[in-house]
Amino acid sequence: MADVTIVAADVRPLEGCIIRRFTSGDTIGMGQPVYLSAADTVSLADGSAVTTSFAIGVAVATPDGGSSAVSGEAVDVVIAGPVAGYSTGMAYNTLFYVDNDAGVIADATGTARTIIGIGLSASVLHVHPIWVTLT
Amino acid sequence: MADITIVAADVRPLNGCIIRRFTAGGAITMGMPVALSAADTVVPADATDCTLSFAIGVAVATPDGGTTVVSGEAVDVVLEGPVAGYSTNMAHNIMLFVDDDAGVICTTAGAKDTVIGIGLSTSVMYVHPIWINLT
Repeated sequence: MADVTIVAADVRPLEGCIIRRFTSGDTIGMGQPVYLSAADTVSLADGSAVTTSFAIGVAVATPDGGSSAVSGEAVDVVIAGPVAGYSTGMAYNTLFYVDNDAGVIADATGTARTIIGIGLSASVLHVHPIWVTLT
Repeated sequence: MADITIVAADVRPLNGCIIRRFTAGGAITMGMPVALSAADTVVPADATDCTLSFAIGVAVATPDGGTTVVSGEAVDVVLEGPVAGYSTNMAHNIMLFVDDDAGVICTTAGAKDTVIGIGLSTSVMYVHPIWINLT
């Protein structure tokens, strides 16, 4: 099991992805997987519990271009599509999961299994959440 | 079990889909499901092999508008969304799978179970990969 390194300053949504703006319910670094902690509010996804494992995408931008958002700030989330900004551990044709550590992406499943996407290259993740553990 | 007929000349990405350009790692006909054989490189998906069963989408276009590509050429792939160009055995509300024959879409699962999408009509598939057999 290996965690994926996120280079927050390098995180970029790539052409064709679907982006939606949410309110941050937590401190969120760009590139981290997020779930809905309240209506239109996202917090760091965490595979150690079912509800927090239901990742909807990864954070990619704040209105001021920062690399992190604090609670109450706006944050743009890629719900589907390619996102750049990953390094160590990222690889093509590898499925990636929500880890048991909040906000971490790993190549092995957490306690509650959620696939966050598939690697397209050594730096690009195709965000495509699949919620496997439902209860 | 029924294979879906692909009419390569009729394959078109439809409004709202997510498209990304890759390099072909082998001969690919438009409409075929594809998997990653190397970083940013795709080949026909094949459910007899777990890694090749991880289809990421379907090939839809070449830079010159042709119906096939050979290894090394660019190919546009729909990662998510509706694609036209299918005929016999395509129908609304049926799950469509990666077949044990490379590049074939079928109405039943292959040895490794990967859903490539769901039929919307007699000619249109909504591409939405779900990787079920992970090992």
